[in-house]
Formats: sequence, C-alpha cells, structure tokens
Amino acid sequence: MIEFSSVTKRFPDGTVAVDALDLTLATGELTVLVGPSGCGKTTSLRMINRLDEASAGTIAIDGVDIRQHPVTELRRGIGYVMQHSGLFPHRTIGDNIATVPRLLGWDKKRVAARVDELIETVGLERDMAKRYPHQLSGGQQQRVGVARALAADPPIMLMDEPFAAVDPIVRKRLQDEFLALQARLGKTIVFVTHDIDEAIRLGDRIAVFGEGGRLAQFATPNELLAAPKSDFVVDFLGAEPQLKRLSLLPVSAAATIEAPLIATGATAAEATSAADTAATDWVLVVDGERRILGWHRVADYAADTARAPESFDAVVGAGDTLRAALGALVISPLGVVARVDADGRFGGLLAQSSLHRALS
Amino acid sequence: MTRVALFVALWWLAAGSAYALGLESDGANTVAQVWHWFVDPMHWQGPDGLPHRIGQHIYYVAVSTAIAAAIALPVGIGLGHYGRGGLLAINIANIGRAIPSFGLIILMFLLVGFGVVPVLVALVALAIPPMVTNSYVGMQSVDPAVRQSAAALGLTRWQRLWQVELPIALPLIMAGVRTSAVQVMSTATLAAYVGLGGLGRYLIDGLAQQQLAQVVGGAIVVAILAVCTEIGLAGVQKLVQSPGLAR
Repeated sequence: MIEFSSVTKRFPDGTVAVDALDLTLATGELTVLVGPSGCGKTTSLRMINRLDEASAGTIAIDGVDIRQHPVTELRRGIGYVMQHSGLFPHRTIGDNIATVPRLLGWDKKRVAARVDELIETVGLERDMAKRYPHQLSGGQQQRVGVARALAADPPIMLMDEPFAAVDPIVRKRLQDEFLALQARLGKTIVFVTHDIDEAIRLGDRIAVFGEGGRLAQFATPNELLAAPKSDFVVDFLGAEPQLKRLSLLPVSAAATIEAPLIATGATAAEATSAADTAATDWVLVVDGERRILGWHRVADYAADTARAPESFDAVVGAGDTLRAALGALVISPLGVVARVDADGRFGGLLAQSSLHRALS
Repeated sequence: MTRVALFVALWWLAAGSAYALGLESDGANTVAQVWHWFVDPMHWQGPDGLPHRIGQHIYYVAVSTAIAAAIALPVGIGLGHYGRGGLLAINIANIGRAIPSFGLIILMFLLVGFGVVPVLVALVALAIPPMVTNSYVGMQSVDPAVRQSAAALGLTRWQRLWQVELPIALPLIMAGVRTSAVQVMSTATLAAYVGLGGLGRYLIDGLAQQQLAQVVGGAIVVAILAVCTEIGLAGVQKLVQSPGLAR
C-alpha cells in the first residue's frame, strides 16, 4: 500500500506540480495516474522513489515513511520503467537486466539464472542476452526495460509512460502482454500515462489529475466512465464514454434474451412455436452439438422445411468485450448477436437491450 | 584517412619550411640526403643519436600529457557530471589554447631558468584544453534518460559515475586525450629551443647548420611518432571501450 498524505511538490521556480495530494494505492493493484501534461502525475510517481522529493506531506509504503531508509535502498526495492527505456548502452542486455541483483550482491549463478528467466518472461529470445541495446528495436528495448525493473522481484513497480514511444501495433501487444504478466505477478503498480484509453484498458483504478496538480477523481475505470465527477473529467474522458465502458465489460456480463432455437429437421409447427415464444419472425437452426447452422424466416420455413438456412455470422466469444458485440450487432440483419463458447456452441443471444442493461 | 592527412601535412610543413628558410634542396637529391642521414650509423648511437633523442622526446610528451590528464580529466569529468560551470571551464581552457606555446616556454625560461620545467609547463598548458572540453562534453552527452534510470535503479552517485557515465563518455574523453597527445608530440620539439634534447634538436641544429637532411629527417621522425601515438591510443581506446557504444 502506498499512501500520499497531503503531499505537495513546489519547484524552486514557484510552480506547484502537486497540491496537497491525498491518495492511497492498494497493494496488488494497477493504479493509473492520468491527466494532461503538467498536471503533476509524473512528479507524483517520481516522488515515490524520491527522484523528486516532496516539499510537504509524507509518502508511506506499507505504513513506513519512505524517508526512513537510505534512498538507494528504497530504489533497489522499487522497479522503475520509463518512456525511453534508459538502458545502459555500454552494457549487454543480460548485464542491464542484472543491474539491481548485482547491486544487491546476489551470487553469479543466481544472477545468471534470473536473467535467463526474465528474458523469457518478457517474451525475448535467450540469445539476446549477449546483444547491446542499440541492436534492439524500440519495442524490444521496452521489454528489456521491464525485465530490468522486475529483476530483483520488487513488490512495487513505477512505470512512466512505458509504452508511449512505440508504434500503436507494438503498443497494443505490449499492453496485452503486460496485463497477462501482471495477472500472474500481482505487483503493486503505479502507471503514468496521458492516454485515457490506455488508462481504461490497463488500470484497476484510475486517478485523474487536473490542472495545478489536484486530484480530480479516483475511481475504477467503470465508475469513472459511468459517473464522472466534474466537467473536467468528462472532457478528459473524451468522446463516447459509453463505448469505452462497453470495451471494459466482457460479453459474459450482459444478460441474454430468449432465443428462437430449433434443431435441424424440426417441423414447421415447432419453428412457429419457437418464434412465437421469443416474439420473433425468424428462428435459429443448431445442430446436435448446439452449433449454429444458420437462420430461417418462419414463413419461409413453414413453406419449405427442406430449404437451406441463411448464414448467420453475428457471433462473439464469451471472452470478447461488449464493444465487439456491439460491432457485430450493427451489421447483423436480425439485430441480434449470438454468444458462443470456445468450441462454437451456442450460449445465448444478445440484443441492443442486453447492452443497455449491462451499462445501467 | 585523418592519419594519412596528418602525415602529409607534417611532411609538407617540414619540407615547405625548409624551402622558406633558404636551405639548399633539389628534389631527388634531398631524398638521397635524407636517406643517407637515416642509414648513417652515427645517427643511431650516443646522446645525439636517434634512440636517445626519441626517448627524450617521448619522455617530455608522456610526462606532460600525464600531468595535463591528471588536472584536466577530473575537472572536465566533474563539471560534466554535475552539469555546472562547464561553459566557464571551456572558456578558460580555450584562453589557454590561445597562449602561444613558444612564448610560454620563453616566459617560463626567464622565470625559472634552465631545466625541464618551462617545457613541461608549456606542454601541459597546451594539452589541458582539449581534454577539459572533450571530457566535459562527453559527460554531458550521456543520455539524461540513462542517468535517470541509473539513479532510479538505486546506484549511488559514485556507482553512477564509474559504472555508467564514464564508460559511456569514454569515446569523447579519449578523443580529447588523443588530440592533446598528438599536439604535444609535435610541439615538444620546442624543448630544444631552451637547451633541452628531444627531436627538436635535429630541427634547430639542422637549421643552424644549414643541413636540410637533418631537418627533414627529424621532422619525419616526429611525424611518425605523432601518427604512432594516434594509432596506439586509438588501439587502447578500442580495447577499453564497450562494443555497445560503437555505432
């Protein structure tokens, strides 16, 4: 747990970067500090490992004031990743990763084993350990930066716009991998970004900073989008907050509607009855394994039960987001989306009303 | 490429000044004279012989470059590390660059008399500016992100200096040392003006005795030594510099 109590940072030229900040960051959570440039988010981050010193107030980690230990000791216990990897150009990738373990006096064998492990953890090839930073791409350098920060297995990680300098495709992949890594490691992470979409994607909780270093709102991404506290937050969240909320919610979170389902070879009467129950004029055909084969208008099916079904493409997986479901919904001729499991078996039908209820 | 240019320039300078001073020379004959000067066993022994003169010359260069490095590198590196006072130091160093070495030698000679001190003072003064400037610039050129990450990882100031900043600044620091050493190598010929030895003797005695072969021969040896210094220091640099910095 990282606690800011009335923390203020005033620079020598008089600018107040952070103004009486009270904020408690929970252990094992990924907290994103987000806001426009000059809002004090980076300064707040840097005060945690004392790259910047607070002018007033205290910061405590698990109840202990960070000024109680020598600063180098504090920093060796906190991972730090920055926008430009900050890798040491004169050291190999392996030696870069080994920096903190060596400072802590680990023996050679343990260091080497840890380096090997981390290179794989961050998705690099083991033979990269012998290379130098300039031989790597920007994305690979960021991975090494993350590995170096993780090296001594610190409980806390500070990340200052770590993915801002890589191209959007690489960024998306790094974000995904990072989320998977965090799900496994459960570190206490403080993550600074100016990109609200990144904040929403990654954060367990988001602290929105306003001008002048004041905290505008501190909430989970869903709460933030559902109930922004001020016009500033609304502005900062940007267009389509409801769409952003949809992208946070899994398909499994939405209630399904009654589905007019029939098996192959069903009679015209069975089809009519299924459609009546669901109040539709069409039916969905599934096979014995409940895999979707297609759909019929009831009237057409009643006229000719042997006709081939129309194809039905509006399907989403249970792990997809509701935003993906909405995307499928708008191009579905029937105005519905089918949820299927990993084996393609039918799991329920979503309509616009399902999304509406999930958001309210 | 630079080394070849340096060699040609020194050759041209030596030959050119010989003409300017009115020494006799007629093309092919000069080459033969110089050749004879070099192969004459008399010139390879005794206190006036090449080995002894070369030894003296290298001694002046080594001592003055070492003293200059001991003064200039800590100043340039320290200022670069703290990022303060750099402009002042560079400007003072550049004023030093403007002092004519010859004038300084004569001045020091008048002040302290015969001996090696006037020469060393002048050579040290000549060697300091490039080393201060280059080591300061080298330290300043370390990427701020790298400095910052070194601090954030928990390296002490001393560890940051020795393990991160100095190794990264090394190529520029070494460039300063090389520049200084080569300059000192050619300027150390001035030692002969105040009665000391070194390769300058051949230039001065040769001019006084109207012996072109001696002047050119001495100049060639100085040029070769300068080139060897450059190549030797470049070799040392290659050994100590991280391959990660070679781009």
